[in-house]
Amino acid sequence: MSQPFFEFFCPVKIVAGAAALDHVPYELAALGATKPLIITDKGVRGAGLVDVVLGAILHAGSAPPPVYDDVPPDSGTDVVAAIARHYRAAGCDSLIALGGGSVIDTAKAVNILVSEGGDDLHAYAGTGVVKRRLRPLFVLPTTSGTGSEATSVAVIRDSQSGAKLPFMSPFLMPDAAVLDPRLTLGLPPLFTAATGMDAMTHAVESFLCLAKNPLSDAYATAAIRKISEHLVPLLDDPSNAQRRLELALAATMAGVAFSNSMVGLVHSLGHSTGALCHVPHGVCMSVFLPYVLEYNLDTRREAIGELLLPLAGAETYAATRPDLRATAAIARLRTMRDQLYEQAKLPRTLAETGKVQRAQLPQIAQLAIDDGTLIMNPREVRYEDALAVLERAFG
Amino acid sequence: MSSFPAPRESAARPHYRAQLAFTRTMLPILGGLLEAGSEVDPVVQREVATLPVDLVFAMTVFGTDAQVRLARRGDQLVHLDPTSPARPTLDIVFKHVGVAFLVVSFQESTALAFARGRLVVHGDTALAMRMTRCLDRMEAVTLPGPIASRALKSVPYIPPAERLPLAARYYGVAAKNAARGRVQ
Ligand SMILES: [Fe+2]
Repeated sequence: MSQPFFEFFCPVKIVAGAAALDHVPYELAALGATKPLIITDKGVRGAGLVDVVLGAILHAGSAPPPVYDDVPPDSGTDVVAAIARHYRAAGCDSLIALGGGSVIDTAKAVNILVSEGGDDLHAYAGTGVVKRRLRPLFVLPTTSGTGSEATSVAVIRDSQSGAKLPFMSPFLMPDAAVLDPRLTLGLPPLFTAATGMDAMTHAVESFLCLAKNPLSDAYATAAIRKISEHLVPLLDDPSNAQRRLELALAATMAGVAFSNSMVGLVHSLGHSTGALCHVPHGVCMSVFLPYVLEYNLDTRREAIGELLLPLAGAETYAATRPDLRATAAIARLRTMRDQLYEQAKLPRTLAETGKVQRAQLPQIAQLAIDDGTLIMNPREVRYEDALAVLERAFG
Repeated sequence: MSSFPAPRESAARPHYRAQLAFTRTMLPILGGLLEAGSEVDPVVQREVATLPVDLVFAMTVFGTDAQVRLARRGDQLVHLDPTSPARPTLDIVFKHVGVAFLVVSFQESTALAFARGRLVVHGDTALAMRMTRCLDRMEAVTLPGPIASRALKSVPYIPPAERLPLAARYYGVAAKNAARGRVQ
């Protein structure tokens, strides 16, 4: 018979709470680093967050660390090589990633070059190619969604061929994730909603996929509870620092969960829709999540039913007959999706995104069945199945 | 400080030799059936047509010499001889013999072994997905239903009038190719 087995790995130090940023110099020094390069993008700079970070980490009289603020949304190997040159020229000894998914992935890739030497990233693409400890890398997430601060993966576009190069190694795990409410306070409603639903999807898929295990389940359900409790109220009260922090924690916990248990069909469809139609990742997640749960319902009815507890709370869970809990959990997610549409105009269907044509669905389905995340989905997905889910999600 | 004494192999892992022997036997059989599928099964042929022309696909077992390699040649997959110098561009590595044994004896699906972190893929994941679909299809056609349902996430329905003659052609071609010998 098939024998139970799992692995769980998360060596990231979580530094979270009020004034967490102020701890960065101490934490860097604890790893023997004093001169970080801050990697960020123009949006983060424009939102004033570089100043917030510098204000928190500068001692009286100390020189400000160098800042590279030109990471594009879809970062490539040429950008990574350019940043590595800045790092060397400035004599840095560590990295701080300040931003969302693209900035964090870029910083992980830069760390490969500045630690291993050279400027050809291709040599390190693939699984387990990086085999040594890299320079200290701290991640300061400015969205509460991707969970990249707790994963051992980076994806970088090959600037020549346009292909996506994946990097997977335990040494790509950041040394610390710093969660400070100041970093996400100014995030606009649509971004808050979309990235929150990305985190929700990480946690839900983690709880349902083939690689689920007792430890990832604990992180996943705790993340779902926090997102259910705080996302909708936060959008009515966007400057609530406590709720911002809860969402940041939830996103990191969901990241820990899925980096150990992987994701499934929501992400296969989301990656393909993102690549072909340029719909933002979090929007894809929110659109596909209920339809994919319906697709997986018969295979994972009990586990989906268990999600009603973190989604709706103990009273609703206890008052719902066990055989109805799975459909109630999906209904709860739909209600949340409708609320987020009212509050932040987060699209509910592919049609509402305004970026997808019905005629593109076959192409998206074809790309989705080649996506590696599909292998973890609890129910087998063939081309026709993927297309049927897309048709329903189109609206 | 002394290091752990190396345990006697038979005492530490009583099934090791048997599992390794079985895996060494089964991997080439699977390779032969996959090669046959690319000759007789239109579903496998459609997937093969999307593979890079220089693909060399391998399944190996970490720390042992048990392996199988196939290469795309023209429209087909060919089963490579162990002495072939072709280096894999896509390599599925089982982390130890016990995992490989579970998979090649159809007790655990490739997907589940991957999900549990018991095997790793070196190479392009999109290609790994296509090769997995070829393997799944081959197993769905050639394995008896109850065994296939353990080896696969779900067994697609293929009418017996279609499946049984096709399975016979898989086995026939695989036997013919085995008699001819493998390709360098
Ligand atoms: Fe995601």
